Amino acid sequence: MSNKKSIPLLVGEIIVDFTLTRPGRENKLRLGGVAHAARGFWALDTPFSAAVILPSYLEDSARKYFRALGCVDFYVLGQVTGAPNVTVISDPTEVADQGYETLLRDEKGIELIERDLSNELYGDILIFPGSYDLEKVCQMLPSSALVHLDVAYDLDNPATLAKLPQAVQTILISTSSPLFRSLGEGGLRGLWEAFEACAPSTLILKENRGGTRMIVDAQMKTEALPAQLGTTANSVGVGDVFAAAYVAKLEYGSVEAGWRATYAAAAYSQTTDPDLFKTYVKRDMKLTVEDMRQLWGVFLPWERRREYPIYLAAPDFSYADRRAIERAIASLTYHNFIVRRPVLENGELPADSNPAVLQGTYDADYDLLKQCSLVFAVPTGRDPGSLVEVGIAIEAGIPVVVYDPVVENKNTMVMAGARHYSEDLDSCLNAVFGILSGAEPQ
Amino acid sequence: MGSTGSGRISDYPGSSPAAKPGGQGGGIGPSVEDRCARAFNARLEDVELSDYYRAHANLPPKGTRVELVKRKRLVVQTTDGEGIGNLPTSFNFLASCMNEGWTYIGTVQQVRSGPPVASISVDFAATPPQ
Repeated sequence: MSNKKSIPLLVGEIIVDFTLTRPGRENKLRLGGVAHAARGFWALDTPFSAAVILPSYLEDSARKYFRALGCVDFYVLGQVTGAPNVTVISDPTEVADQGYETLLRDEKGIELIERDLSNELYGDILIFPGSYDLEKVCQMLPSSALVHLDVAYDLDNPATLAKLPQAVQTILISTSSPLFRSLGEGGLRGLWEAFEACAPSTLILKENRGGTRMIVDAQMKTEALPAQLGTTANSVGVGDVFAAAYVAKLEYGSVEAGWRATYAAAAYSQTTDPDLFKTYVKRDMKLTVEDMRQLWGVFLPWERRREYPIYLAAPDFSYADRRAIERAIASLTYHNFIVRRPVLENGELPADSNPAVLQGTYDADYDLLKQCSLVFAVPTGRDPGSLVEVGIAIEAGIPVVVYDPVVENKNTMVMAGARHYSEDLDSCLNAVFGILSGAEPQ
Repeated sequence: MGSTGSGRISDYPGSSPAAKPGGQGGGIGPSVEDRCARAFNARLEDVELSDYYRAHANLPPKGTRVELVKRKRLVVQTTDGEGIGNLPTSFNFLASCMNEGWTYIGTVQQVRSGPPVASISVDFAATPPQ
């Protein structure tokens, strides 16, 4: 951090995150939006101030909650009208698109409150764009501050950032972001060029389970930061905690800040218990960056994932119960893997097909399997074809991940032969990233 | 854990059982949920590159007592100090636990010489700091 004021200013909307869980389990409600980043500052024992936009009904409880997290000054810069600022989340582990639903989003309005914070001596400002007018909000803030912008959501045009009165020090973006999806074809360099107008010093691309890449010192260097994958309890706000930890640790340089941010983000994904989260973060901060480099982790950049085709071994038939299969396909494609689907590509044969047709399709499926880097099996209904494909892959030395959602294939040959077997898609997805991050491309 | 239900915001600092006086574990020490305290099973990586495999051209027998140490990676070694494989990086968090004094002692549960590659599965139990 720069020396103007020792604490950062956090700017953005406060939202209520409401996470739907499985039937029979208790749903979860907590403050979201910039509250995730606030928890990150708190876990790192970094006092901070906040300038927020929120619905008036939330102000008292948010003020109280932020105070408990060590927030020094709590400014309200605007009020949300017409909507409760509640986001309903249906997939908190982000095995696929998290399926955010913002209630009454088309009715939502924001009334900014004129406040002059321009003379406050905040050196670093972490901003999360929202439904508010970013330029107007930035005009209320000190123009000499360095701005770190997490543009995962609510920014359509990077060129507009050039109009901000502050120098943009850092751009953080995620592969989950709609903006990234619209810009992502050009890779990391293409992303850098998209933000050229605001001339950031550092660009950070958070790539979910595949790690993070940073362009630092205005393109002089690229740093790879592997992900620390564990069992995901809740991935909502993990990127925000990354951003907070990064800003909190900037005094040690952007590279060290990035490494420490990956550990803080991983801890946030593994528990929603605030005290346990802080315990994890404080423990991890005792590791040196050299320790972290040596331990490494999972690193599989977004565009490289296309180099590892994944063979789907599943009863991918039109008449089958396809729920688990669709979930697996959605998850893998969401993370930019190419899923090769033999039934779709080589045809779904009628039961009374003649031997020559059967042989032709078998050969085509076999050849396709051999071209793939990994077999992802969803052998629902103990589908014999899928299990044969698992066996072929094991014998061929092609890694196999078995997703067995109703635990109907708990068999020695399947479990021990596969590199990973689980009823949990999150765990299977982590295994795919782990295996392929150490693999040679096809 | 954390905020539960939808009635109010409840995930305040100090709200978890681990942090309450008399709660499980007390403060930031071990609690039932703490990832440092969990027993675990792991299939080791890089077995064929390990000290043990290179020295003996074989795998350690089932039942071998092992411990977890940090070299560059987290390495599983016999009580004689011969590495038998690396822990997958998904267990990297244990490095922080070990810095705090947690120790991990285990037993080789399964060995397989391949194909395609040699593999070892180990069960570990955690011992809290003294």
